[in-house]
Amino acid sequence: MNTQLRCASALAAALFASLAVAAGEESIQLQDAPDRDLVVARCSVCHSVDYVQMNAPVLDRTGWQKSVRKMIDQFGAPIGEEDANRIIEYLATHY
Amino acid sequence: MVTRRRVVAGSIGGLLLSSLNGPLAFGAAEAGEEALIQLPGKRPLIKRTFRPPNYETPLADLRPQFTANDTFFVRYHLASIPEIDPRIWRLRIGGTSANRALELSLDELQRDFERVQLAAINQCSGNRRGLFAPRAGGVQWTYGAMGNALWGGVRLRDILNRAGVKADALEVVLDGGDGAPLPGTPDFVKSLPVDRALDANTLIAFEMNGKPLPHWNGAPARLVVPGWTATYWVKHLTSISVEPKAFDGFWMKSAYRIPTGAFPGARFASQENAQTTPITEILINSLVTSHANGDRLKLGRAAELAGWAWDGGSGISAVEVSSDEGRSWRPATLGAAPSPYSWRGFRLPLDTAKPGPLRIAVRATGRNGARQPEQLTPNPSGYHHNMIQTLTLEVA
Repeated sequence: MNTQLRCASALAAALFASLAVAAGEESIQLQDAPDRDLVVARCSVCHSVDYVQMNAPVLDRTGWQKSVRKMIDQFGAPIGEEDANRIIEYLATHY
Repeated sequence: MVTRRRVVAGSIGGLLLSSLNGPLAFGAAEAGEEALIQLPGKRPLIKRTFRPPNYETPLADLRPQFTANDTFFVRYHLASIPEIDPRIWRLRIGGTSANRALELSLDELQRDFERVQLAAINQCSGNRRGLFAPRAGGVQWTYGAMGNALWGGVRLRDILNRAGVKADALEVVLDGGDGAPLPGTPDFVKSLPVDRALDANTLIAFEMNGKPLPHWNGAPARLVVPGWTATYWVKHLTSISVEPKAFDGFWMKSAYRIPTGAFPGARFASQENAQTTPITEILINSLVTSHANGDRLKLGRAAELAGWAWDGGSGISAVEVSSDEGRSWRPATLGAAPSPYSWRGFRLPLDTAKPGPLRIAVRATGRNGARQPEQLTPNPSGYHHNMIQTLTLEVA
């Protein structure tokens, strides 16, 4: 296996392991709207998405923006610019 | 198991003012849904987030002098939480400012050092963040991100002294077994000023209320820093490093910080800058556990207000209750305090002779003269919520 492939499969294994959800977590339903699946897929790598519901009364668009940037810039979430913007748009519009 | 209940939340800052006569804000009761969910080995707790698990203790479970192990709150920053086999667990001690490196098994830790017990409050820095106005982002705790327990273990000082602390030691850095799913996420690592690490009351605990530490509270061993907020009480402790310089990890440099000079409490000089400084000591506070906001009292039937008061270790000297919106205060009867770091009980009969709303306010005063404030000190992370608690009870 070449290095690139090894890295890719290691990353896939890491993502798979971390996607193991906590009991009960599957009951969380985010608002059904475009990009919900993207938000769930990306955010759930590290945490349950009840974090979204919990912070909804607290965060406005700027707050969501800061929060998503923090996940990328400080917590190392591998999310590109385009996906980040779609995630922020979904959160700011629906929460 | 998932159950739901109607919960009457406390006064939400000043958003729902129903009375502005006195200096204190009395909030209207606000009903909200809260999920009670059971983690393995725990009784149902108020779920804030599933993963990482953040669960707070319901008010009724804060009534005993010592909070039971199976109702004690659970707080994690990162979702990879190890199930540690205590037989293979090792604690590593070392660092640039240690004379030698040590590795201790749980047996050695328990056998080779003097055993101590201490009653102390374990309180999350963000306890009551959900009651802040203006709102602050983060886990939206109400009253139950805290508990009081009898911690059993050994002194961190004795372990550090066995390794040997060099004269240039500045901070002691503590790491636990929990980690993040992604490699780029900063590991949860904390530091303490070397003086606080060498304080006789700073412990490595492996027992809680006479039993082995529960998994969700840091098994097999965790740090206990009495009087300081729970962010320093590193769970699943795996390594201790004595260092000659300030530790610069995310959880010290960017998180758990308050505006410099805004609050009383011990200073953490090596981590302080002109704008912000680490949160350190627990501020004076109290909690009514006998009643919740909105509770009804039977007209003419004897009733008693009761709860707990605590601070960062100076000890509680008085708890007073007002039933006229803060114009006059009556002293409550104080109970025993198992240690200055424990909470102390208070109780006072309530006047149920007249029908109508009964507006109760409670304030605690410490032996150091500190008293609970009427207003919150705003800060971006919603730390140190210790304003005077107000309740509106209905006599009918």
